Amino acid sequence: MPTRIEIRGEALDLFPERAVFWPKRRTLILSDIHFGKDQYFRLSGVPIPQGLTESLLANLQHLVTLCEPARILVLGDFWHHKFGISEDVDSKLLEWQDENRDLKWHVIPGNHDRRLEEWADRWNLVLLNDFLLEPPFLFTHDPSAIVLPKSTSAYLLSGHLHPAVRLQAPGFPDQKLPCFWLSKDYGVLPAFNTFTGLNLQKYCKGDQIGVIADNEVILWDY
Amino acid sequence: MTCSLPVPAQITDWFREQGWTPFAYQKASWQAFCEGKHGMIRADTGMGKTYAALMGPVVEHFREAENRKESENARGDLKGLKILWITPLRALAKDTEDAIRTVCEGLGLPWSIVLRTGDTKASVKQKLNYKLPEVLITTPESLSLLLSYPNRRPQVQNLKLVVVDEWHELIGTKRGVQTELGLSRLRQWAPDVRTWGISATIADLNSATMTLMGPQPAETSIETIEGPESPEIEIHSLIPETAERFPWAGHLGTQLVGQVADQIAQRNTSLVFTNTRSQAEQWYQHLLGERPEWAGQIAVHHGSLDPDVRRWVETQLAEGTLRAVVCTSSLDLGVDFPEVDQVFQVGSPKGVGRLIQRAGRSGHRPTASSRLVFVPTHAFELIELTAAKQAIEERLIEKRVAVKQPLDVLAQHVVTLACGDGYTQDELYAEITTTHAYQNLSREQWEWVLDFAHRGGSTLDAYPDYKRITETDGKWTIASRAMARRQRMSIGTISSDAMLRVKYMKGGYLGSVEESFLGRLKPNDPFVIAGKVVELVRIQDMTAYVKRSRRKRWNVPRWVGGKLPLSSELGNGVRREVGHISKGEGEAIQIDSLLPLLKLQDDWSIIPKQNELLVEQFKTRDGFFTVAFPFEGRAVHEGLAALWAYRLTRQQKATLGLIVNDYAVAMLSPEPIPRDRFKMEVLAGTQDLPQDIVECLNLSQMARQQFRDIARIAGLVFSGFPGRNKSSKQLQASSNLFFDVFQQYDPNNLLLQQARQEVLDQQLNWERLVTALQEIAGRTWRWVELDRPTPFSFPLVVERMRDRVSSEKLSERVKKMQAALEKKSPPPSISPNLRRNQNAYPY
Repeated sequence: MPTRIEIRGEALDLFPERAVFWPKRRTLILSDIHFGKDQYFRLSGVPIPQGLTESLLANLQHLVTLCEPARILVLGDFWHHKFGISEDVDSKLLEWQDENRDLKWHVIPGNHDRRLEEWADRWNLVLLNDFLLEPPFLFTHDPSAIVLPKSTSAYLLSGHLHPAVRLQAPGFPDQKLPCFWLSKDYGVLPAFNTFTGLNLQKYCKGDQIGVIADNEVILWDY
Repeated sequence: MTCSLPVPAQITDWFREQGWTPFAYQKASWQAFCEGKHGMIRADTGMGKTYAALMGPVVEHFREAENRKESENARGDLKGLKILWITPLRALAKDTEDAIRTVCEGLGLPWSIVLRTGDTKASVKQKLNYKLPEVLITTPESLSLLLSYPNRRPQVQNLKLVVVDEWHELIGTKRGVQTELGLSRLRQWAPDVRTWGISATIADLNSATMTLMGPQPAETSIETIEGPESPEIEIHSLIPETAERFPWAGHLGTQLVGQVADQIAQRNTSLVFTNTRSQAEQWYQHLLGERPEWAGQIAVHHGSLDPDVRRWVETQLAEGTLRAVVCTSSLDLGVDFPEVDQVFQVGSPKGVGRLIQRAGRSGHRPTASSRLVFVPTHAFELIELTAAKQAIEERLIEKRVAVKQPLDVLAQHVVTLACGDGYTQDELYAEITTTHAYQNLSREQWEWVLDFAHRGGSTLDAYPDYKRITETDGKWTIASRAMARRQRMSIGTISSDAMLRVKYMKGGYLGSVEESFLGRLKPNDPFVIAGKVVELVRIQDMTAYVKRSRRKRWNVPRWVGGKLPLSSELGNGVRREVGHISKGEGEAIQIDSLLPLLKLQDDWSIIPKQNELLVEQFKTRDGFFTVAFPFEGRAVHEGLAALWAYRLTRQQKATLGLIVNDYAVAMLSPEPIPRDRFKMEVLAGTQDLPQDIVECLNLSQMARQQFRDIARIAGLVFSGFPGRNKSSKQLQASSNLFFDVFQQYDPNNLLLQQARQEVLDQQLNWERLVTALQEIAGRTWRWVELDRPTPFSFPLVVERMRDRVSSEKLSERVKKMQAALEKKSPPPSISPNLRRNQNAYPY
């Protein structure tokens, strides 16, 4: 079940599947998909069982069925590495796209997306610049790569950091949970791929944290 | 291989020149070796055990030289490695090398001797990749590494002797299994090799011997040789004038520091053993505070210090120039210090074997006895010591349980060997089943391991495009040179957390400390390391820069390592002792300062008899405590706690706090646990046990933690060189992630099963747990409700809560726990530089 929030007057749905839906623009926003990461590991001699790509796509299908978006906007790190794109990953992705033919893909390239342009046509990806301004939002991959001018009224939405919170309570084992990090002027999405690290961030008082636990996004005021 | 005593004249002469006479057990060892036998020598440090094991091939060499002369068919000495000496401790390696060199030089043997450990110079290592010396001294890890290079067989085929030194340290560990595997390969290559182990006194020497030899050699070809009896142990105890009535486990108990200093002053050289590195640093500071004039005469020694510092301390100790050294298990074994004439044990000895071992570090002068002075840090330990004394008299030493076929170690081994000349499947299976650890390895398990290294799993669930080893014409070899390089970097079974080096700003290395401790410090925060008070300046590139501090208050790093559990043997001893007390008998009751505590316990509650299970329930500010006293040791208690909590919460949603120590299991709950319900679940014994264990939430959490080591050993997690090997960053993922991925996508992976099995066998001491459950069900039940904690319960009230079992959903907890959200994460003291390093890889 999504949790609805409002930013600069725009409604956004935060999904526990680690994505954001922007109903007004019918846009499903994801970040850090890292397609083919498991494959890349296997190629390098690290044994990872199969099933991660399938589950990424199944998750995506689930979201698409729920939200019926017109487009998917990826805030960077579409793939992990081009070597990770085996025939298998490629064909599964194509197959998925074939079943969702009306969906547009807009991709802001992330630091992992080197040479993605060579594949963009194949997967019908529209590669954008490093920034995309769609008021009230300014989208990018790495939020630290930009200094927002004071005058701007745009709200920066990005990925890259894989934000997480640590739950610490006496007696319980420490546990990191992925989260949405919503500060006053910017927000960071959790990584869509579950096979990725989780990073604690320097949250500040006043930040809102959308903690993903079980099948819910629980909002905390920091 | 005929060789009869007497010992060749050269050797007797040389011994005489040194002013030594060979001990009978040494000669017996040489004789047995020359008869082609394998053997196990039981001898403590400082009894000439090195010579006992080493001289066999030397004797044989001279006998053969003699024969050659006689037959005038002078054939040259066979080339290649002759003696391989495996030691678990780097610190010991140098000493052994010196001893061997003395012999070889003294007897004019033209053998080259090389020491190869992780500390060895790169150029020496490089040379060893191509050519082996006649005598090699090395560690289990370096042995595996040696086997990972091609063309080894011709250099090893004339190997005569493998010595595994301090085998008691290796048995029951994965390092021990790694050693067994290495030996199995050597035995294939060198038909004439004889395996000799050296072990200190352990409970079951016979099974230790069998573990080292494996199932193959006939029993008649194995000789067990008893070294000289270790000296008598004299145990004294410092008794505090007043023992607090509420013993607080975990608090320092340094009130005896004055008495300890007095005793140190009366003798030449003392070792002060503590159970943790932090405690060592603290005791050092307190001793220095007590006797400032001892600066320079006392030192601290533990595993996290700079090797040079440690070596310096060891040298000074050997020369007898130090008055005292405060140390941890880092000095439990190893080099002999004849000057040491007194040993202190601060705090619980935890196990009988350990106490004997520590006591044995003193009194190596002829006719001297081992003098051990026990320093209790809280009142209970006085009872523990009485129990330990009794156990020493009865020689109730803990058994070492061999590790059962750990597949992670095997997975590492098959890849390691593939880096060398390779192997065929059947040949290696036959070889591996000659080890004790894998003698019952089934064909299926074997094939799974090979498949896992080859393609990730059996054909059906193979991992696409994954391969680490490949097969050509029936021969398995490594898939690529890059893979071989990586394998060599990750050989080993000891895991370590990320450690930061601690250095002075001006240069000078002090030691290393876990990142988790330093991460919490802010610049200018003082802490002690290597006996020096320093303050943090900054952290950069995995190094913490510090400067001297004059502050009087400081932190002590808490090095990970966990608390040693009290062994079951000692736990039972304590229960027996408490039982004696309840009847007004035994030794502990003679200790005056214990009396008030015991009296209070008896007035408020009861002192349980040996066949009784005492359960106390009382309310505190935090909630209701229900404390049971099985006296089975911490490891078993953790299992009991997890299991009982599971049974108590399965019917209604609840959260229970779990606290255990070596004597008791406590559960903390918002509402009192009803007596009858507790009784029913606790006394259920082993009924439904397998089912309960599987469903027990906490165990799966423990398995996840256990998987960290398994993932590393099996080669899933590649740590590489921190900060150096940038190309590997895209390949890093935490073992937690691996655990989740396997759990979800390959639940039948045998490594997951292994993790669960290890939790049961090692962490929870499964067999003991089952016996304990049955035995507890048979005890007489004594339930006492109180309005405050008793002296027996009090330590649990102040102990940090260990675990919590909750049948609530995570999301429910998250909602409740907003307050518990760590406010400053990550800690701001980490410099931006380090943060970048830490965080760089997952993006």
